[in-house]
Amino acid sequence: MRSIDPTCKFFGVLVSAVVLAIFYVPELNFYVLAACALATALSRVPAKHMLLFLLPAGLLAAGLYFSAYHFSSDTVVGAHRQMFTDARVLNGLLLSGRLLAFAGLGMLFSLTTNKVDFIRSLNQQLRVPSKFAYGIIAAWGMFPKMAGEYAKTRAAFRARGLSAGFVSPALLVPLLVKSVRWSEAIAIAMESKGFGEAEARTHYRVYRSGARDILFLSLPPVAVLAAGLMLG
Amino acid sequence: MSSPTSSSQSEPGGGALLLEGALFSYEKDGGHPALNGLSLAPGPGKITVLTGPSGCGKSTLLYLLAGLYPKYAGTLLSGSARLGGEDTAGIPPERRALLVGMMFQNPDLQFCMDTVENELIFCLENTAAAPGAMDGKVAAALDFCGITNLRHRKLQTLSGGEKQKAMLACIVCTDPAWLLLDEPFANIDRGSAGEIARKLRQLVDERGKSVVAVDHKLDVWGAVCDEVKVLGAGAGMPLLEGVCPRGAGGGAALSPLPGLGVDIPSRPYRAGGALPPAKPAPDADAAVLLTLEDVSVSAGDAPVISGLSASFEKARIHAILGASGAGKSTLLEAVCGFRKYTGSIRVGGREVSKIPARQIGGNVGFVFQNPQDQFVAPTVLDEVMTGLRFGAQGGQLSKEEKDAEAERVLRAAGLWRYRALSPYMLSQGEQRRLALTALLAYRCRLLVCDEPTYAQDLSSLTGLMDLLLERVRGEGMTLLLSTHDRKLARDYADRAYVLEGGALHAVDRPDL
Repeated sequence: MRSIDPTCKFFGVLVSAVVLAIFYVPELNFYVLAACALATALSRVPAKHMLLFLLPAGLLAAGLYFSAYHFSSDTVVGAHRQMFTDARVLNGLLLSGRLLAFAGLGMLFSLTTNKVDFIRSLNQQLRVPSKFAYGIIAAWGMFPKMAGEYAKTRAAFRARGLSAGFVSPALLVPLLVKSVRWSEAIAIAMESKGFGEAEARTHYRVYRSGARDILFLSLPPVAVLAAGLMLG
Repeated sequence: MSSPTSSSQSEPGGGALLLEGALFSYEKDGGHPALNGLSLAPGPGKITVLTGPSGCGKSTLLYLLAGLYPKYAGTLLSGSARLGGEDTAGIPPERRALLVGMMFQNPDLQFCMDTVENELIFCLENTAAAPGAMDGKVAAALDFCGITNLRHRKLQTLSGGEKQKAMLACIVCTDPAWLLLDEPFANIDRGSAGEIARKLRQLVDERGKSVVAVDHKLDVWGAVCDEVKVLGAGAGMPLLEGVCPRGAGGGAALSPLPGLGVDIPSRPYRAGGALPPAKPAPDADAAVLLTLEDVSVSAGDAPVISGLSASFEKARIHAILGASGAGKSTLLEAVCGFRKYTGSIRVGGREVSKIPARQIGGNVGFVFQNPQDQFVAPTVLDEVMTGLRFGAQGGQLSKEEKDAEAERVLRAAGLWRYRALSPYMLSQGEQRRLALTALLAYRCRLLVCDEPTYAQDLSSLTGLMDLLLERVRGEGMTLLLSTHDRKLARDYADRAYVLEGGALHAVDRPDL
């Protein structure tokens, strides 16, 4: 999975998710999840990372299952299936299963893709402007810093005798000021490193879509479609 | 990477870098010019250090030379910055980076990519280097900077010193003729600073590069620079060009500089030498304000300090030295209750973690390393008023007394004219003075300062330390500070310690 061109992988996963969304087949969701988990595991992603990725989705899915179970009428959404006698169970499984399937697709993409590779590939293959593409990479680097800064600002307020709740507008002001300053400093540094408007840049690694990449782009959506039609 | 022989020694490449009659202002109407008709021609094939008091326009002039201003800030009302006869700002960035490279003051805010290797590749791609040659250039630049082992490391996991070396590697791999440095050592330890300074010397000697650095600390530069230029306050005019012979005679050549507000490494900060005597404490029990017992603090999963015990006397200045990453900031933050700790930290007998938020201000004050981390109010005046309101004497002062006190301390700090501005609009040095002034308004018993004098020029450094000393001697405040500046610990502290391996070791001040 790691060697597939990130752009093709992205659209393969995205189109699969859209195709999945048109079917109301509970089993299909779980098949997709299983296929994603298998493909991710085969790409030598440690099981721990996969579990950590799926854990929040799992909790949400459980919540969704029970709310769908309790709050839906006995009318089944979409196609009727004989194997589920209780419509409430079916509704619960549909919603939670779909969430898990989407999480599985997301996991397959994000745990097997280097984000810098993805952005470079978008930049080269889809002609996403460099300014935008590299801006995103630079902003990515700022996010971990921001959480730490927020905690620091809270401590500063407390130390000065001011009480500030967990989410307080007063705390956002320093953060906002800082992020504007940071982005300006980074923009200046990028320009000093030769990053400009001109698209004359060369590419260390050239991203092109080969037969395998095209296959990944087209096969999963078709497979989901076929499975959906067969089971539906 | 060009080989050492490819650049001619007699005629360093890239053309002359000049500033001609630059009149530059940050204000829209051109008021309060930061540079007032300044002309400057740094010597090619040399290391030139520009120094002068905070706010004299030395960073401004560097950004103009680099072609980054006026695009990113301010207006150039007249004059020009030229490189090889061309207007520097008019040269497209991808070509300019091949002529001028720049290293910045804040190591954290100069990278765009995720890893060291990707950052270097980013620079090479920007400047349209041939893809086939990139691996070799990256390897050569990393090797030159001595950081081959960092090639695949995530930039955010590097220390400040490592980040500055990575930044130098970026410049080395694009190979410009001019290197401009904006206080490159302000945030890193002395060891790394010395290594980078030697690499710069090597670039000048072996590859014919030219270096222009802005700094108000000359200690690292003394051994490597060819020329020191001093800019006067306000007018932005060079007053003196002191040629600084490298090596032993460096100090002597710099001797005319102190009168110009420049810190000479070999001169003590305090003209009088010894500190004024401290009042002896009435009895041993009352003498100690801060006690640490078996204190352990972790950052994330990693233990930074484990089992540290120490006591600090009242009404003294305590300075903590130690290498970058030794845990100085972590320890100070724990003392102020910002960090979870195990063991016991008591100020005047009270456990720090149990002091209610309302009373913290009157007991323990903390001045952050970066003043921007601690501003809580929309204006400079409100920043000080917050201190008067929540401080030890908050309930006792009337509104008029508070107003008068705020005016008095702001005038003393030279910040009264900025009272209606946002703290973020002040210069770095002014922000630091404000941060300290606001904290002093609390009249806390223990003031903790994380590197209070970093990025300060000589007069603000001594001004600030004299102010703190006055509070300590006059009012019995206890000051605990961390610093990289050994001379500061020698000249201003009653007690000095080195934090190493998670433990505090007392050191004799005259040895520093």
